[in-house]
Order: sequence, then C-alpha cells, then structure tokens
Amino acid sequence: MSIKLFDSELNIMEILWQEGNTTAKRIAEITKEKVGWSKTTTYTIIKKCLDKGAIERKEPNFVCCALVTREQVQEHETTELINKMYNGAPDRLIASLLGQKRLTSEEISRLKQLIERLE
Amino acid sequence: MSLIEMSLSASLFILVVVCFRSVLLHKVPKMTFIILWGVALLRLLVPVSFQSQFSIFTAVNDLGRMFTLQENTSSTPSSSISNGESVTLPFITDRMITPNGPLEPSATLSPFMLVWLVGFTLCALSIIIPHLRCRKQYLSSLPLKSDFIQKWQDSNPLWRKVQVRQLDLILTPLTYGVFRPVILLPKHIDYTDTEQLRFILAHEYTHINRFDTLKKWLLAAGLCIHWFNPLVWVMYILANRDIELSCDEKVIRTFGESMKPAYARTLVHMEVKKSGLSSMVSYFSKSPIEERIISIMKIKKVSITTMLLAIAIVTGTVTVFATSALDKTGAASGDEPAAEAVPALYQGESSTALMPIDLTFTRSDVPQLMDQLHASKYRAVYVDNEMVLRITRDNSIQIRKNNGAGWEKYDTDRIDAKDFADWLLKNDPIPGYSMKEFQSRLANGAEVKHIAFENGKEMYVVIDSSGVQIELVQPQKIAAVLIDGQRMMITSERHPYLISEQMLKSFYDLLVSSDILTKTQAEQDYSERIQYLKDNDTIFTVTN
Repeated sequence: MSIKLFDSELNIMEILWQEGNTTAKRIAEITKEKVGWSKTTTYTIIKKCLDKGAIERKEPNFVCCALVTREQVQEHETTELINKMYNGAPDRLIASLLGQKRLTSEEISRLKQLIERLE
Repeated sequence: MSLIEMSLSASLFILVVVCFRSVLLHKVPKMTFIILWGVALLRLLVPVSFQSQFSIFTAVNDLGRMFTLQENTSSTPSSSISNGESVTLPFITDRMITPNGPLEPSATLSPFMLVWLVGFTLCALSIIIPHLRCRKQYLSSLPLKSDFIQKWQDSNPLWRKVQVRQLDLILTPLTYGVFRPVILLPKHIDYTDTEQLRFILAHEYTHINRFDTLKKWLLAAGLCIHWFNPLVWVMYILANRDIELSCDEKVIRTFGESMKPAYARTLVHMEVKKSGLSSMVSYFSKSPIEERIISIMKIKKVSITTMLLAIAIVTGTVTVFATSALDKTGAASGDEPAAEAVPALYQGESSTALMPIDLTFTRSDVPQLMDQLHASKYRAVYVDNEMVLRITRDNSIQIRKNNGAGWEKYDTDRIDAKDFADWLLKNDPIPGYSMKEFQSRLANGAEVKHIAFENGKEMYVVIDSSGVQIELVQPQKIAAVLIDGQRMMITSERHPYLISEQMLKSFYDLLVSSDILTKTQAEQDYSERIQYLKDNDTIFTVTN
C-alpha cells in the first residue's frame, strides 16, 4: 500500500515516526516550535492525515499513531495540483473566471525565441 | 455624487489611460500607469471631486449651454398651457404612474440599489472566499532553511519583518500579508540556482516594499463596488498586470540591463512549471506573459525626454479627464440671461398622483385680489377644513387649527432647491403656473421650506425676492383654497369634484380678518368666483 502526502502532512508523519505515538496536543506544541504553525493549522493537517488513513486516532487524549511507514509514502507531485490552486491574489481568480489557457510547449519555445530576438 | 456618476466620470478617464497604455506601454516608465490607475481608483472610491477649468467636463458643459441657449430662443415654451388659459386642470387619468413620493429621504431600498447590492455581494464573496481558502492553505507552509536566503534577507532589510517559507501546493513564488508579509516559494524551484533565487526574492521584496498587495486589494474593492461597469473590469485586469510590469522594471533597474534576458528566462522557466492558470484571456491584446517578456526586454534607461513625457501624460490626463467641471452656477450672475439657469424640463415618466385636483386663477384673472395681497402684511393665505395658514411678510408661517382662537408659529425644514426642482418636474409636470419661470426661480437661489401635516398633506413653500409660492401635496384629495404671490388655487375632493361654497366663504372671511380685502371687496370677489365656476366650468360642482 502506498499513500500520497503533502509536505505539511509529511511534517506530522515525521514527528510520529520519530517520537512514536503522540497526542495531538503534543504534536501542536512541536509544530508550533519547529515550523511556526498555529494549533488550528496543526489540527487541520492531522485531520487530513486521518482522512487519508495515514494515521489513526486513539482515545483518550487524542493519541495519534502512524499507520504507514516512511517507505509507503510518496510525495505528491505538484503537477497534479495545478488546476486546484491559484496564487491567492484576487486577479488570478478573475483570470480563471475569464477562462484559462495552458501554455503549450510550442508557446514556451516561442517565448524563448522572443527573448533571443529582443536580446 | 452618486455611484453611477462616479462610475461614469471615471470611465472616461479609464478609457484614456487604456489608450495611452496601448501606445506608450514600453516607452515610458511603468510607474506612469501605476499613478494613472491610482487616480482612476481614487475617482472610483472617493466621492469627492476636484474642479478644474481645463476639465473635459467643463468643456462639455459649455458646449451643452450653447445648445440649450439656442433651443431656448428658437422654441416656444413648452408649458404654454398655463400661459394663455387661466383655468388649468392637471391631467388626471387612471393610468397614473406610481407617485415618486415626497422629498424626504426614503428608508426603503430601491430596486436598483438591491441589484447593486446583490452584484456587490457576489463579487466580493467570489474574491474573498477563495482567498481565505488559500490563506488557510498557506498557513501549512514550512520554514525554509537556506543560508543564501538568510544572507540575502540580512543584506536587504525592510521595516516590516519578512518571512520566507516553502509550500508544496504552489507553483510560482508569491507574497501575502500586507503588514506581516510572507514570501512563499514553491518546492520545485532549484534552490542551488542563486541567480534565479535572487531574481525571485528581489521581485517579491519589491512587491512588499511598494505595498502591492494593498494596491491589489483596493483594486478589488473598486471592482466590487463598480461591478456593473465593464471598463472597471478592464482597468482591474490591466492595473494588476501593470503592477507586475512595474515590479519587473524595478528589479531590472536594480540588477542592471544586462540581466534582462536572464530575468526573462527565469520567468519563462516559472511558466513551464505552472502550466495551469498562467494565461489570461488572449483577447486582451497579447497574453500577459508575452507582454511581460516584451516589457522586460524593452526596458531602457529613463532619459529626460521619456521622464518629461511621463510627467506630461500624468498631469495632462489628470487635469483634463480626472477633474470635474468648474461649478459655474455661482458665477452665473446678473449679466447672463435667466433662461440659462433653467434645468432641462423633465422628460421621463411623471406622476401627478400626489398633486391636488385644482382650479387656478392667475394675476390676469384676479388682479385686484393679487394687488391687495401684495399690499397687505401677508404673502400667502391657505384654508382647508382642518386649518388655516398665513405666511407673513417676514416669511414666518402661522397656523390656526380646527377653528381655534390663536395663531401658532410653525417650524419648517429646509429643502435643497435643486432636489425640489427635480422632484417637481417628476411629480407636477403640468402645473397651474409657468414651470419654466418657477424652475428658474429655484435655480436662482429661491429658498424651499417644507411642512408635513397629517394625512400625507404637505406644503413646500418657495420663497424668493419675487414672493412666496406654495406647492401643495395632497395624496388624499381634500378641498382647500389658497392664494400666494403667484396664483389663487381652489382644490377639490376626489370624484365627484366638489368645491364647497362654505370653504370659499371662510377663505374670504380670512382675507377680510387679515386685512387683505375689505368686506365689500370680499363679497364682490366671492360672487365673481362663484359666477365663474357656474358659467365656465363643467368639471367642478359647487355645493353648499
């Protein structure tokens, strides 16, 4: 079994792989110190790991246990996300509302030629 | 200034900037357009305007004046009904359009306002919701440990603390946060390529330094408020692009012109990675990336000529197109003919539902009565079955209710004469007097006072040097008699149109007790009126 995780989710997994089973509260403390996340952000990411089946929750105290090993995890390829994300700047959204166009490889090479021509 | 007026006046300015941009984009410093867009945004967001003699709107007004003056001299007055004929009955039909209501500011939302609000909300939500969703994802970014970046940051200090972090969810570098800016770098970029990293950081730092995020938010605010104006959308898109172009320009100036090709290649390299939302619609001339590359490659040292050109464009465009017309009403004094000040007569749908059903006598019908009124202590007298009212020579308003003994002085609200003039054209388009003359009095500084009574009965008292005129509002038709500086008016109840002898009698009694007429004059005048009604009128019936 292999599972695809984002860097933020991997960050949580790393803690679990290093420290073993850890309470959500403790994970939040570690992430706050190490990567500067708020408690809410950490819990959101933990929730995503739970949803993906990468970790399991045990009561009491919301103890998180890793369900996958380091070897079973793959990094998410950024290219798969392309259409889900925009830069967050409002103009990008408008751009996507007005219609989007992929840059083809021909267009890329045309742009490179353009640079050479203007050089 | 209303929102529509703001939008329209800014539209012309936007159009001019778009024209300049298409011709001069690669010739003048990009800051030129940033300033021009800033002025456009100011016009869109701030309801204050600056007047200029050189404004295009002054010229338009002057032209307009020339035309209206010609019209005034060539055409006969449209309100001729009231000039020759003495008796005028407002046009009453069942197809009455809904009344425009009294002049009081109404608390209800107009349909236009509602449509605007819906558009505004949709527009704002479609920007804010995805933004918040992204911001939430940005929070899961990880700190970036790079000695090069650390050193670079130390050598380029800003007064706001800038964090540089990494996020695998994004494809191009970006900056967010106005007050605590964070630069997010995508995961895929080559962190060993220091030249590329330097370009990226310099670009993002320039954005932070110039508060570009704030600019983009202000543009978005302008877009939401003026969502109905397509030119504002054009401005929004082009201004956002120009922010990028201007930022590129700054980076090239920092690194030197020899770096232009390398910088442009970095840009293309970034585009290869994010194949998704890169291009904007292609029908806005070139694709933005192509425009950006050409713009970068064409960056030249700013010469004195281009700088002067840029300054000339900004000052010229702003004074001609971004200012409003010089307010000439103040200057329009004695030497100009009064007709010039008459606002154009209202052409649209009208409503007379608020107006009384009346019979009007002008000076030519009742000369003696008018003269006697002018000679008396009073400027107007009004009677109906609930109250009597007098306006004294010093314009104070006295009211006696329900046959009470004493007169009470009445307080009034002051109404803006221009608003009242517009309102009148809408609600009383066929009055029993010369509308043109009345409008010119309103335009030339007449004072308008407003009194509201029970049953929706209202009075607008127009006062100027030539006398007092009462505009009566009667949504519930009641019988009344009034005389003011312009005319005597008898109003009747709704169908059947009855005029009461008793009412007319008490009106003349009041004239006698107010020392306007002698008893004999009053009796004579009264019988003349009754006779006139019996002889000439088929609509009204005189009752006891």
